Amino acid sequence: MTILEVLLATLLLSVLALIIFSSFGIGLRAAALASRMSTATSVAEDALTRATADPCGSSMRAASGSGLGETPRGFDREVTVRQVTPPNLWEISATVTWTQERQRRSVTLTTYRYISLACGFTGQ
Amino acid sequence: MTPRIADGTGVEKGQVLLGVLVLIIVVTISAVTFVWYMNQQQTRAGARYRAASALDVAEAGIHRALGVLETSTPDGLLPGREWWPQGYQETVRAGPLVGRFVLSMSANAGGARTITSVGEVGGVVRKIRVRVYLASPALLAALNGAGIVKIDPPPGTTLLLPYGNAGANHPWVHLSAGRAVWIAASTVSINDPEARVAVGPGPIDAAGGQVNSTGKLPVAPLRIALPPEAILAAGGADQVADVTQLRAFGVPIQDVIRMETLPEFPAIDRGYFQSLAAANTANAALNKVTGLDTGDHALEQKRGSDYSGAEFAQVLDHLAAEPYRTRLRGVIYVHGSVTLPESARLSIDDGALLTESTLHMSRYAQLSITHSSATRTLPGLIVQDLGALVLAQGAGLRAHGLVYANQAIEVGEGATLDVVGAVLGNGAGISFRAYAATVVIRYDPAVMGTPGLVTPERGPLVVWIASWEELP
Repeated sequence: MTILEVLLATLLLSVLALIIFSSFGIGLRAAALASRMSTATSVAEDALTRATADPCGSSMRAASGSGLGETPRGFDREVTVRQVTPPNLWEISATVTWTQERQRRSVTLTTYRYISLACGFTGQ
Repeated sequence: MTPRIADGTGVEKGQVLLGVLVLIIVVTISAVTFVWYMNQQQTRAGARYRAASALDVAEAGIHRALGVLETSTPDGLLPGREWWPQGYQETVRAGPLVGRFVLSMSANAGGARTITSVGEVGGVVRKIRVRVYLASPALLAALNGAGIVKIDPPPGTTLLLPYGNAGANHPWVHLSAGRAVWIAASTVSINDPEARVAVGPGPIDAAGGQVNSTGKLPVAPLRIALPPEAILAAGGADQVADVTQLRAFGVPIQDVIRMETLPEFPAIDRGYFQSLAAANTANAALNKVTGLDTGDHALEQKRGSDYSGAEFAQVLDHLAAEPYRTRLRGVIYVHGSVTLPESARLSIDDGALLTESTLHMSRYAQLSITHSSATRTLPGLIVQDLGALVLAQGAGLRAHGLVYANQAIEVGEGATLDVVGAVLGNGAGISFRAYAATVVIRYDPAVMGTPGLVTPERGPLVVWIASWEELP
């Protein structure tokens, strides 16, 4: 074993360690992003489910306010409801935002809900 | 291996470097695997987001279709019921993603329609298929009369309540009438929470149904829907009352909803039910023995369950002679009137009874028409044409599904009407009358999906979703 060999090995190990630690960092950041994105998707799904729970739309009105309760820590949720054609057809969007690596990120789910004429007939 | 300082000429020269290289390879593979796995997590999270979004877009398509069916076609030119899209597309924006749904619709037996919505977001596709019925809004009431609904004084009670979770999950009202809801006296018992009655189980629950240990049913104050010209009457038929007066009269009313017009009652697709009855061979053995007994060769040879009035009378006579065989199965269609003799007992399992004239249940006759979860949406009893449904003193009718009479429904003194479904009386005068009778109607919204009902061509309709499934 020569001193040159040891030096070369040390150099290689150092370079490798640098690459590996940075790639681990990238991987861990990707995993964290994936985890938060999954959580955000679940929160958005839950918000849409709750917003559309009542067939006559009362849950929709509650959801567009603050009627859906707490969100997981670090996430913000916004539900928007707007009428589209024909009357009684509503577009509901749930957007969940969070900050990761100093960047604002978000997921949005959108669906329609039709409020049946049955609700009008029965005064609901 | 014993470490030693190499002299520069030994065979172990370069061994450390080799070891480091091996270590580099192993660690690199591990690192690449780790990074690949973590990136896969991110890819999966993205795919899950797109899949959730695609499902929501597919749902948006279904709701677009429901909206069109209840109103007008997207171009606004035709009634929605005439919309039969094949490949209708629309774009839906979900944040940074742009999705689209593609709609198709097809007709099924019994008036059902199948709507298929394919949602696509970022290359991920989700499909939803629903089966819907276009129903008359008249089916939104537990008890509905085209004319007058009259409730007479006790003994007896009238209880209108939801079946299962219907009240929480579906819009409905307790009572509706085209001309009047007439409470004959202040002693009338209607939705009295203290009333105790015995009711049978519904199509999707175990014996005992909703009755709690005290025999009471979970009733609530009435919600009544009336067209503008209809009145509430207390005491005499001409004694118009408002809600406050009726409450003072002892009738528990939550509210009265004024509709623009009384929804038309659905018509009956008799051809559909006749074909179901003709194909129902479950009673063929009974037909045979009855025909042999009576010498009616046509009845003896009959495989199906569509009868003339005379044939069905023979079947009833035969059953009366054999008290242990009182059961029929499936859809029964009678081209005439039916009279259940005094104290007769008849059960129809997983089926329906349709008559083309009056069904008269003589004193203390008992008729039971029950369904299972698989046959829940079948009607229970349909009396067509100029027929009325008459329950004489002490008679008992227990039915699952829709109970419909094209004329009046009269429930006589001491009689019992126990329905899980809805009751519609289409008589222009008295549509429904309970005279000192026990009436329990547990509203089952599944009546909206009753096959074989024809929605009136004019006027509003409501869409009932009978099934909802995601396709692979």
